[in-house]
Amino acid sequence: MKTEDWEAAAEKALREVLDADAVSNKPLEEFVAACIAGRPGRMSALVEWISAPRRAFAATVAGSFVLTSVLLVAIWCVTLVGTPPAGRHEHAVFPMREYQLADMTTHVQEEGDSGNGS
Amino acid sequence: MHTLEDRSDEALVEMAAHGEATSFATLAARHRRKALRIAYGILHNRADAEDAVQDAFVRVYRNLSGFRGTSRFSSWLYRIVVNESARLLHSVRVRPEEVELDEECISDQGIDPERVLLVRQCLASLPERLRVVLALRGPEELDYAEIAEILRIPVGTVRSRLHEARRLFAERWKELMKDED
Repeated sequence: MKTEDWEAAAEKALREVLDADAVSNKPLEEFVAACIAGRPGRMSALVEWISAPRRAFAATVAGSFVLTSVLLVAIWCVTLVGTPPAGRHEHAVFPMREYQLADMTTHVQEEGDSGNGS
Repeated sequence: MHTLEDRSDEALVEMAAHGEATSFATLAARHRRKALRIAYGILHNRADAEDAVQDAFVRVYRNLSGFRGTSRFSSWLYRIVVNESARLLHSVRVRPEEVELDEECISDQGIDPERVLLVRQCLASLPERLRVVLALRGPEELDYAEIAEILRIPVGTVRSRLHEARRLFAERWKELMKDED
């Protein structure tokens, strides 16, 4: 076959396939209604993925788990902020105790000194 | 009295922009098949082509009031079809080579499913810029000037791309036919 013959044969095949395969199964009324409603031909990947029945169940379970986890973490954080850390508590008490001890020692020494002297 | 079918595209656009859904339905009936062939030529499978065409018509409907009539309605519509097809082609999820044939449907049309697959392979082997021109020219044979208007390229470029597309398509077809034998 000559090149021109191959080109003609290829073009004929393309025409045949377009006639046979490039046709819509969707009725015109349905198509027009979808366009007016603004429904895209292809749903977004996430919506399409979730719309499968088993996945919808899996997505609900996973969503609940994530939501519960977030809630628990939030409660834990609030509790943590509400209670003063252990270190800060000790710092607040220790100087007082040290002061009191030092004070008491002075008192004892003063009492001892005065006892010896009298 | 004029029926809607007798009216020009531009008149129907104006009526549809004022909320007449039947005018939009007439436009869809007039151009859907050609739009589908263009999208098929670019995406080389029916399901994706239908999605692209629906997305294009959704955009057209939303922007009817923005159509200024500086170009033909068909040029405006087909440009949107080309853009939507290209967008779908570049999206990660489209894998035309993995799309199975609707054999029952194709057999009803009296064509060998194997032939459909070979044509799809030939289309897929073409670079996108050539495939778009071939799809627009298609069996309805849009004139070079309109293709140039749609793609916003010079008429000479349309001519040379179309020549190149036909040559490559025929070469690939020849190879596949020889493999078949």
